Amino acid sequence: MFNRRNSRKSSSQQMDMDDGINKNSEIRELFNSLSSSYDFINHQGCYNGVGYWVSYYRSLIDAQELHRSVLSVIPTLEQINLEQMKDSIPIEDTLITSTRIVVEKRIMRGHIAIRLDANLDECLLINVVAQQGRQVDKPELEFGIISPQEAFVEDIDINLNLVRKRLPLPELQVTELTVGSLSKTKVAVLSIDGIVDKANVDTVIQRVNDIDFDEILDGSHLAQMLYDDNSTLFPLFLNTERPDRIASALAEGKVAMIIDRSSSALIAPTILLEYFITMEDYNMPWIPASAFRLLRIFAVIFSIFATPLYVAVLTYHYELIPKDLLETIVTSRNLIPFQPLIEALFLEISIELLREAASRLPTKVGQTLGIVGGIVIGQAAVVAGLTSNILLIIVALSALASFVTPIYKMGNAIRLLRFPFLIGAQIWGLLGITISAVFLMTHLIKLTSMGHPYLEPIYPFHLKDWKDSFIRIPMNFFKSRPINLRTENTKRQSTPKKNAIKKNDFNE
Amino acid sequence: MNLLINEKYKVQPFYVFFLVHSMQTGIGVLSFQRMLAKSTGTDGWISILLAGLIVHFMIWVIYKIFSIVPGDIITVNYHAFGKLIGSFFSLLFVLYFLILGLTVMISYIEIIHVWMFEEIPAWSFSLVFLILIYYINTGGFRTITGIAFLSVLVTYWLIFVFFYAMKYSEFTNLLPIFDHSILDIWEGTRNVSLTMIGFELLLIFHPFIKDAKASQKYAHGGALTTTLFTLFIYVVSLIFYSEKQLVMTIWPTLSMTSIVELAFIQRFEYIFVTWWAIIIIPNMTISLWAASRGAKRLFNIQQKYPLWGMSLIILMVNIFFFDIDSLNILKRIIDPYGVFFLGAYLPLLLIIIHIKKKRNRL
Amino acid sequence: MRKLLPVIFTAAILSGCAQPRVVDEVNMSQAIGYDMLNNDRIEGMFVIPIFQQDKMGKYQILSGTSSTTSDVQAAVSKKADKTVLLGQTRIVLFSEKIVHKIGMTELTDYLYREPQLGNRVLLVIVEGKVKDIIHTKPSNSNVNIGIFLSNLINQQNETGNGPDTNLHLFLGNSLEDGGDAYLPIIKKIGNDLAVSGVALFHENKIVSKVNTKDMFVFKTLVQSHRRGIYKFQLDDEKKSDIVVESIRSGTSYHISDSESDPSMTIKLKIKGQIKESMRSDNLTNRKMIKKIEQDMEADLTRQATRLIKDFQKRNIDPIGLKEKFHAKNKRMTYQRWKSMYPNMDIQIEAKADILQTGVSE
Repeated sequence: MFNRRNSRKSSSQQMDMDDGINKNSEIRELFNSLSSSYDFINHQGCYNGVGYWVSYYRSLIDAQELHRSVLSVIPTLEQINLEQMKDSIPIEDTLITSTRIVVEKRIMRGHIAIRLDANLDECLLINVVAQQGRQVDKPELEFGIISPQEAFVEDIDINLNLVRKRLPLPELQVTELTVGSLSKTKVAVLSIDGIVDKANVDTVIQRVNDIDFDEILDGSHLAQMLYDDNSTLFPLFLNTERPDRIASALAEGKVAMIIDRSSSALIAPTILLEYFITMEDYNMPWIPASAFRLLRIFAVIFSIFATPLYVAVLTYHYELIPKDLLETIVTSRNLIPFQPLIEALFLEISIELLREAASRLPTKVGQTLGIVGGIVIGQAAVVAGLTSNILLIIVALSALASFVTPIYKMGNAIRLLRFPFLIGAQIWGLLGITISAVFLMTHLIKLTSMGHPYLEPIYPFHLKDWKDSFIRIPMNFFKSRPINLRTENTKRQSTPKKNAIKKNDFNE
Repeated sequence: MNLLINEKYKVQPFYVFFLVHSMQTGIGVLSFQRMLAKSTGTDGWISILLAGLIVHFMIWVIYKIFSIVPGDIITVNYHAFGKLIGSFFSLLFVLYFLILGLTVMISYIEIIHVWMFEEIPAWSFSLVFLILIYYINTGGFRTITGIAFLSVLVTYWLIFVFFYAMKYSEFTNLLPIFDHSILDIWEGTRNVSLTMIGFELLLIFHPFIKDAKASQKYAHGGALTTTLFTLFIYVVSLIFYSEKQLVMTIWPTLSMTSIVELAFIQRFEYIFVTWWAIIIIPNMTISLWAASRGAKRLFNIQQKYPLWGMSLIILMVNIFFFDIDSLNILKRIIDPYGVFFLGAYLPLLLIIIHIKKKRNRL
Repeated sequence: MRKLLPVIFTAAILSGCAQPRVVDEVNMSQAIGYDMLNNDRIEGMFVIPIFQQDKMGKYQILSGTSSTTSDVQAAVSKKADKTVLLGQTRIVLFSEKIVHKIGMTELTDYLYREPQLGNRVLLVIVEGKVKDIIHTKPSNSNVNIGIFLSNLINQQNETGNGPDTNLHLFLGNSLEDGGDAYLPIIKKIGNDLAVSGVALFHENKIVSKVNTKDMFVFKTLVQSHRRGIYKFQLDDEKKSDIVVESIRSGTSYHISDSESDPSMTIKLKIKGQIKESMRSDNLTNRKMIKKIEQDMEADLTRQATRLIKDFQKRNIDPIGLKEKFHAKNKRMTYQRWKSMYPNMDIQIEAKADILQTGVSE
């Protein structure tokens, strides 16, 4: 950004100094410098005695499109000039200009530049960018069994299309920004006018504009630069690959961001409980949806506390163990030479290792590794007397439980959270766990996402927003949008008429 | 001496319920039955109700004071007594809050020592608590309110213990009623006052409440809940213990939990003691916050400096003076003197302010 | 300085680390027995399970002598490879002799003071030597003797005729004026351990016993219960035995508190089902049931009156009639109670109600 501003300034200064020549030589200069790259092509053609240059990056354009729509059109022209060409080439994104910055920017985006020998300073820019990239595919990270099977790809236009298909309304506003002095990443900020709190959109745009970093390669990368608090384990912006999730967030009055060349879009502001919601919850009847959501939250609590509790109870609070379990627990620990903490760390770290390795390896190898690691190493560790089999069960279950969060980043946070609790448990047993929990509680209370409290609706307490938090109550109760978003239009459905007067009376 | 708090940092009026209730419930609830049973026995419930009534009156006084002079106690003292004497009284309040926080912390550490870890030095606990308190305090009053609110929310399930204990209870222990003289009952009221204090923190956090007038009913609600809760615990203790046993037991509420046996937990009292930390932490935090905020307002310094200083004092007390004696001295300061100070000073303040206001108008 | 702070904190917190008591590195006593030796020293025995793979119910018994109960633990720890901790103790056994010599208040003072011991610990009086009881191999080899004994007592309290006991209930009774409390008695009969009655305390000492025959009536008098077995003889020419299992019981007290002639009526209510009838009469017969109920009431009244008369004679009050009286009359003092109790007129009214006769008629 810094660079760009500089160049603009210098060019305007030069223009002031002496008008025509310098400016024109600028374009030529540009082409000269571009030509030093081997994949930049300067093709010279001649028709009807008029020489012309076609210049482009071989690596950025679609060659077929170039032949079909540009090169084969030129011979059909009656007269060679840029205006004529512009009119007859069947591509809509064309421009005639002689401004260096525009030319440079467009060529870098996959346009070709056509210049006539007569005036080498004026270019016709035609968009023949190669549409390389994958097709819209099934979601990988946020797979849902009963939800749409479409996921974002690494192209901003396709992604925008996926969202707009779901929200065909003129109020859906897209503001496009560019960040990254090197990567020049396009960021589209989406919101629905009339619903969203304008302040939120402004904050997002403000923060994106404030980013001063050379390279932004992915949505999550960008998200970190927009966080309110950088030293937290918790994701403050929700990144998703599901267009339906973005659509639903927009309808609730949130702001979404779609980033070019990234298959994950961002949602802000978010609350903690949102990370335990899958889109499937809305596609199921409310009872199973709520049950599964509670299961997920229970799993998360279990995942954080199970191993620390084991360590605390076995290290300090033997009194708590019921007499029927005592035999089982102590027997399984009999041969183990370490303290419970070492034993637990050993297993926790090996499970983390398995996870990390399995996510780096190719799918097939990864699967084998998972099975081999899980069964063989675990069993061997028990037999060798390094860990107790009860702990093995606990650790395996809590690792499993940490994967139930629909948002992968939250799963990471939860897996890491376990370790401070483990240390607390080792130092002061149950009291250590309690104190760590209060620390965590404080941290969560302090966290904000785009200035909105993260722990809402628990604190600040908004009873109305509980409808879609721990449980999801039936849709006909979804009358208003979340309070914490301070939406302009809060109504989600008209108040139902006294519908069909409840006339059951045991079927009369 | 006037102050304006940004709307952004204020809390909704209904949180006053939780602030008052969580501040009142703390260390006292674990042990008040003993002294109360000693003096008043089966008629302790009258003392509790009486103490509750006094608390309601004091809350009314506090709100009345603030309706005349908006702000906090420091502003009011200034208006009532002028700069010098006003500051002196304000300083007393700062000291009072500091000692309150210190007492709560030392009492809890003593419980931990007796029930769980007798080998850990007290300063080690207090250091961790102080770090935690500082961390909460840096979040401002909203965070403190959040901790108070959540602590009430996540600890109320413990009440099942008292229903469990009823299995082993003898209901005739509740009888006879009206067995004690007025003097006994007054003595009981005094004994129960340590449990009931905590509402006076309103004096400091009052300006942090949005629409403060509307919060009065929540403050009364919080105090009422505490009164009923205390009453409930006292009744359960009476029927659970025989009178002699109750007088002998130092922490009747804690000892009571040791009767609970669940399928997966053999000894519930350890869970109870550790879970009680969640109740204790907001108590300490709010007291220290109030003390340091008072100092900030008095001396016009950043709040973190008094907070650091007070933390250091508490740490030093824990390093050098930690024993049962020091706890007793502290409790003595809070119990007759602190309570009497509050009880006498606040109504007096109201009268003085009332008179001043009238005179100004005339 | 700022960078040093975390280091100082970490060091401080780590130095404040608690002393670990890892489950497999301590000796958890599951039962404690106290015996009195001839030289007036206390012998304490701790039943400590040994946990081994594939071997359930192994245990060792560590014993030591000292002059106080709490000091025994230290004496025993000297002999053990790991420290002896009390947190898993389920049952504490006292021999009759030690109770006689030392007194129950002194013995339980330590138990109540020690936070490691919960309120649910069972207290049991041993007829004979505690040593013999603790060194008995339980018939169920999967559990150690400590667990066996606690299960035995619990089982008796829940489904048999033993009254509910634990440290809390005992202290509640024994700390009152007079210290009238009760505890179950265990005795070794041949190779078996069995509950052989209830020991009654007064002023710190065992003063009387309720034998097994009377335990059902005693249990009915001291608490309302859900299960219990009552056997009695039908009052006709055949004198056949009837066994009734109580399903629910309750007591209520009616007190007339006149200065000159205080009296009390205890109403017992028992709902039960017939478990066994040693005669071939048809039990669905309404008349027969009535007869059984009446005879049972008569028998219960007789037994209960006999028990209470006995209590009055000894001036002990395990049922807690004093509290009932006190609840009614607040000016009641212990001195006055003591003088009026032995001659008080206490009536028993029993009401039996047969609800079921089992699956056969």
